[in-house]
Amino acid sequence: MKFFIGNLPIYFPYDKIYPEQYSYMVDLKKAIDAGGHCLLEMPSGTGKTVSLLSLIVAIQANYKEKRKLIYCSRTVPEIEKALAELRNLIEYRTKCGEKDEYLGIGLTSRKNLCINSSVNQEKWGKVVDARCRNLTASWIREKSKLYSPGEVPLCNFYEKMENDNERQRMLIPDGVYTLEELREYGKEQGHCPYYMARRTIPFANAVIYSYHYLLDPKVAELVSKELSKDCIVVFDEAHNIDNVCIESLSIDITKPNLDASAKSIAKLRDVIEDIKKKDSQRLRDEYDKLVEGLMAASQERDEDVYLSNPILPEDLSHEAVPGNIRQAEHFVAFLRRFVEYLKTRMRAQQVVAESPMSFLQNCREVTLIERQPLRFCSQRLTSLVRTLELSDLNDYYALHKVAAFATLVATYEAGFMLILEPFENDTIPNPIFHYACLDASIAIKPIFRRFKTVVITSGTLSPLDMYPKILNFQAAVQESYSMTLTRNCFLPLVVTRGSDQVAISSKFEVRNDPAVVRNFGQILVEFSKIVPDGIVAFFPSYLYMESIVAMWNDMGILNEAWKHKLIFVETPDAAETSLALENYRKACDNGRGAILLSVARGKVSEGIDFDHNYGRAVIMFGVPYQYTESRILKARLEFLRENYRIRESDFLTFDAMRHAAQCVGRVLRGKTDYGLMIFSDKRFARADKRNKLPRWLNQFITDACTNLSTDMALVTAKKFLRTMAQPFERDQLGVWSVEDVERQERSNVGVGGRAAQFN
Amino acid sequence: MQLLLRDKNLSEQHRTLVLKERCVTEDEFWELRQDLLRDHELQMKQKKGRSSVIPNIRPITEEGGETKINITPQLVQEIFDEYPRVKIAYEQNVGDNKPLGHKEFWKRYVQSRFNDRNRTNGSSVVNDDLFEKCWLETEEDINQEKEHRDHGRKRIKISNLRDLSATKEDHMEIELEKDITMRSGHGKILSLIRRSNRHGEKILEASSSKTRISKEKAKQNNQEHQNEDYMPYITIDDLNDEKPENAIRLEIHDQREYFASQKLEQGRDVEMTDSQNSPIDILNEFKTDFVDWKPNLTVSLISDKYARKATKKCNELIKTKQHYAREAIPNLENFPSPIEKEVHLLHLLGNEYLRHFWASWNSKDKTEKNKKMIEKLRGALTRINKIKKMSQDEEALDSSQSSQNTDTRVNELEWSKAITLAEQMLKPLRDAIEIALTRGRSHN
Repeated sequence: MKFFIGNLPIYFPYDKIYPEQYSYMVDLKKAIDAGGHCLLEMPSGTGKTVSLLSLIVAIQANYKEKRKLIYCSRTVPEIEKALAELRNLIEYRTKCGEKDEYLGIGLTSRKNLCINSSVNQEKWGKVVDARCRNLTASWIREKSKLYSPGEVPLCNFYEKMENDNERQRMLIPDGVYTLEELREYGKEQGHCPYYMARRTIPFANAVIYSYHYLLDPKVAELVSKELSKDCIVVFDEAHNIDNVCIESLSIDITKPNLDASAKSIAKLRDVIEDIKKKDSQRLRDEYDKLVEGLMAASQERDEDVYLSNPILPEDLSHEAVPGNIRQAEHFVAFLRRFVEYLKTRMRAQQVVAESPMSFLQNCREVTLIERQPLRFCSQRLTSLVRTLELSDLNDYYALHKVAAFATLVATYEAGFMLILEPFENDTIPNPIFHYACLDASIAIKPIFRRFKTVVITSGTLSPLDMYPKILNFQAAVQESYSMTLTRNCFLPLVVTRGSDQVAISSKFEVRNDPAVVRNFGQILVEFSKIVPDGIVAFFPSYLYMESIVAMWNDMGILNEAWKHKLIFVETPDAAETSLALENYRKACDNGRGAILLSVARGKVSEGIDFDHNYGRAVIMFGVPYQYTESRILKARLEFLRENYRIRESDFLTFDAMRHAAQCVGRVLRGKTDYGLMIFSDKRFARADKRNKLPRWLNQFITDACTNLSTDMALVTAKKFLRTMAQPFERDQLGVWSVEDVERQERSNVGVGGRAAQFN
Repeated sequence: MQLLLRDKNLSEQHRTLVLKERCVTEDEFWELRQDLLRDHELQMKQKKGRSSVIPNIRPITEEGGETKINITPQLVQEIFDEYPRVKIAYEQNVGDNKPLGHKEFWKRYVQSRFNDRNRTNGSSVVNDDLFEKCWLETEEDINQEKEHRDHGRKRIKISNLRDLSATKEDHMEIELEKDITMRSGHGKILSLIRRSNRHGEKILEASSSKTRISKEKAKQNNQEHQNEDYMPYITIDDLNDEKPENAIRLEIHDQREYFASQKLEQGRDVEMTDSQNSPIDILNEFKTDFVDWKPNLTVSLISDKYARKATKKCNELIKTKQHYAREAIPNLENFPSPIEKEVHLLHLLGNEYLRHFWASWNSKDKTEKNKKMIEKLRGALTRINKIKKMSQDEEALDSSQSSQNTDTRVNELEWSKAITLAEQMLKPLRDAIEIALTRGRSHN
C-alpha cells in the first residue's frame, strides 16, 4: 500500500497496516525531521522492523540529502532477517514503479563470511581472522611478488577482488544482499565477501551490522569511522544496549593471558633482534613515523573526518607517542615490566577493588611506569606488529589484550573500577583482573554526539525514563505504544503458588526447596498436558536451570513430562543449542510437541522467535535477576546510585523485568498468533514488578490473573486455548486499509499535525 | 475383514443382507462400501510412533507384595535404541559359548538400574561392573558426540535464522568472564541435559526416518539451486488481504430461469416478479401511493366483538396444534417387535437395493445388474405392501416358537395402530422405490 505522512509518500509492503505501526512511523518521522534522538517502544511481533525500514527508505528516497541508514541489531540471525525485510521492501518499491538505486549490505565477521575453503573450516573465529590476515596482509602480498607464484600462499578471492577493483570502481551492483546472498555473490564473482562488504560500506545506502561494530572502539575504528554526520543510526532490539556499551569498554585479564603475553614478549624481542641485524632501516622509519604520525591524526580529527575514538580522547591525540617507548626494544622492555607487575598483583590472596587512579599510583611506585606511556600502549603495539610484519596474530592476542587494558586504565578516571578476584566461587584459585566499565554512557557518547538522529527501539524499553538516564542523552520523541487488539491473543498469568498452596519463588532462600521445585515441575507437566505443540520455559540462570533439571530428574518429573512432549535443553555451547533448537522445531511441526528449557539471559532468549506453533506458551520460572553477589554488579549499582540517582532495587528490578518481558514477547508474531505467558513466581504479583513491564504487556494483565495457584491457572489457560483455537473473522484484527490511514492522516492534519494517540 | 469386527453396525448390516437374506452377494456389498475399506486400510497402515518416554523398567506390584518386572521384546528394542552400549554388552556376553544367559543378563541389568537410581541416597550396594562400564561409556559417548559433530559434517542443516553460533563468532573482541551463575555446570548434569537432547533427536529421527530420505534429497536439490527462503519468516500474514478462494464458477445458461425455478420450488405458488421493473421504479410507485396517506387513528375499523372472536379462534387453533404436536410423537414403547423387525429389515433391504440400483444406473456395462435390481425392488415393494396384511396370529406362531413369551401379544386395536404407523414409516421408502421403478421402466 502507498500512503502519505505529511507529504512524504510511503510504500508499505503489505495491503494493511496496524494502527500502532502507523503511529510509530509518524513519531519516527517527527524525530528525524526534528533532528533529534528518539526512544520508541513497540509491542513485540507487530512488525517494528518493517515499519522502521519503510519510513527511513522513504525519507532516503525523497529528501535531497541522501542520508545513510546504519541499522544495528543484536544477533546475526536478526541481521539476516532485517536484510531480508529490507530486500523485500525494495523489491516492493520497484514493483510499484519507484526506481531507487539502492544498495544495502550487512557485515559480520570473517568466520561467518569467508568462502575460502582452506580458511573457513577453522572452528574459532579468531583463528579464521589470523589465517585470513596471513593470506591478505599487505606485506605478505608484497612478498609474494618477489617469489614465484604459488610459493607464498595468498587468498584467491581477495586477489581477484583487488584486481577487479582496480579496473571497475563498484564492486557490487545495486540491490540488497543478505549475508547468505553476499557469500553466494562472492562465490560467483570469485570475490571475498568480507572485504567486499567492508569496502562498499562508504557507498551503501543502508548498512546493517551488530552494535559492536559501532560501539566497540576497537572494531569501530576499522569499519565505522568514515560514516558521515547525517547518517540515521538505528539500534533495534536495544533494550540491552547499556550492557553492550559496558562490555565494549571492559576487559578481563586472566593468569593464562599474562603467561601468554610473557611468551609473546619474548618472541617479539627475538624478532626485533633479528631485524636489527638484517634491516635496521625499517625500525628507524617507524620511529620517525611515530614522531610525526600523531600530528596527522589530530589534524584529521579537527577536520571532523572520522568518528572520534573513545579510547583516545581528544586531548590525547595532540600529544605524540612518548619518547621512552618509541624505540622498539624499549617498548618491549616496558611491556615486560608491566606484565610482571600485573603478575605480582595477581598473587594477592584477597579481593581488591580500586579506582584506576590508585592502580596507576601503585604501579608508578612499584615499577616507575608513568601514566603517559601506558596510554599509548595499544597504539604502539599495533604499530610495532605492522613494522615487524608479524603473521599469526592469534599468538599475540593475549598481548593485545594486555596493551588495551593498559591504555584504558591510563585513559579513564571516572566510571571505571578495577576488581581483582583471586578465587573463583570463593574456593578455586583462578585470579581474574576485571577492568570494569560502570558507565554505559561513555561508549555511546561519541555516537550521540556525532549523529543527528539516533533511534533506539525495542519491544521492551519500559520504564522509558531509565534509558535516557543511564545512557545520558535527551530524546526528542519518547513513546510507548499499546497494542490494539480486538481479540486478546495473549494471556499473561501470574502463578504465585502451587496446587498445594506453597508459595513459589526463585528467591535465594527457597529456590532449592523441594516443595518449590516440585511445584515448578508440576506447572511444567500440567501445562505440557494442555498446551498444543511448543512450550518454552525460561530460568534465571544456567546454574539454577541445571540444579532444577537434576532435581526434576530425581523426582521423576522429567519422565512425567516426557509422556506428553519431548524435552530439549539449552547448553552453553552454541552449536549444540542450535541443534537442539532445530530438533525442537521439528517436534513442534510433526505434532509430537516439545518443551524447550532455556535461560533468560542466554542465547535462545535473544532473537529467536517462538511464533505460532513453535511457542503456544512461555513459562518464566522465577524472576530473572542478575547474580547480585557479583562484585562488578555491586560496583555498578553503587555508581548508578551516586551519579544518576537510581536506586539499587529499582535498577535490579528494571533489569530483571526487561529480560522477562523480552522472553515472553517472543511468542507473538502478528495478531493471528496467540500464546500463554506464565510468570511463575510470587514476586511477579507485586505492583513494583508489574509496573516495570512494557505498557502493551501490562494492559492485558488483569487483577483476576495476578495471584493464581497452579490449578486455577490451568482452568483459565484451558479456556483461553479453546477460545483461541476457534476460527476468527478477519475484520476482528484491527488492521487499517489505505482509506483508514488516509482518514487518520487528514484528522492529524486537522489537529495541527499532532500524532494520534491510541490509548 | 477386520473392519466388520470393529464396526458393529456394519457387521449387523452385513449379516442380514449377505448372510441371512442373501439379497446381495459379498462382492456387491463391498463394492458400494469401498470408501470404508480405503479408510480402514489407511488407518491400519499408520503406525503409532514410539512413546516419547525414555525406556524404563517399571515394576508391577503383585498381590503378595512381591514386585515383578516384565521385560518385553519391545522394551528390549527400545533399551537397545536408547543405550547402544547395552546392546554391545548384550552381544558380547549373551549367547552360546558366552558367560551369560539371556535371563541373567536382564536380571543384572535391572539390578544395576536400581542401584544407579539409589546411589544418590548413599546406599552401599556393590555395583555391577558390566553395566557400570556401560553407563560410563554411554556418558562418554554423549559427551564425545559433540566433538565429532564439530569436526565432521553437520547432520542437520541449521537455518541461518537460528544459527546461534554465528552470533558468538560475530564479534570476538569482547571476551568477558561470565559470572558464576551463567557458566555451565559439572559433567553429570551436563550429560543428563545432553542425553535429553539426544533422546529427543533420536525419537524424531525414528519417526521421520522413512520420509526423511526422499525429503533430504529434495532439500539437497533445492539447496544447490537456491538459498534458504526467508520470506515465510518475515511476512506477517495478517497484513495481507485474503486471497479469494479458488472456486469453480457455476455456469448457468439462463440465469433468470434458474432463479425462478428456485423460487418455485421453495413455495410453489410464488409469482414470478416482473423483473422488467427496476427496483427504483417499484420504490417510486410505493412512494407515490403513500405520499398522500394520512392515517386516521381515531376511527376503529372493526367492532371489538369480532376482534375478540378472531383472537379466541386463533388461540384455540394454536392450542390444538400444540396438543396435536405433542400427541403426534408415536409411542414406540410397546411397538410390537415383529413389526419393528420387519420394518427395520425392509428399510435395510430397500435402501441397499436402491443404492445398487442408482449405482448401476446409466452405466453401460451394468445394465444386467440394473435389471436385476429392478426385479429386487419390485419384490421389496410387494413386501412392503404385504405388511398391511400381516396378522398377529401368524407372527405369534413365530414368536411363540422362538421366544415363548406371551407378553408380546397385544390386542387387535393396538396391532392395527402399529401397522398403520409402520406403513407411515415405510412411506418415504416406498415413494423412493416407486420413483426408481418408473424411471427404470421409462429407461427401458
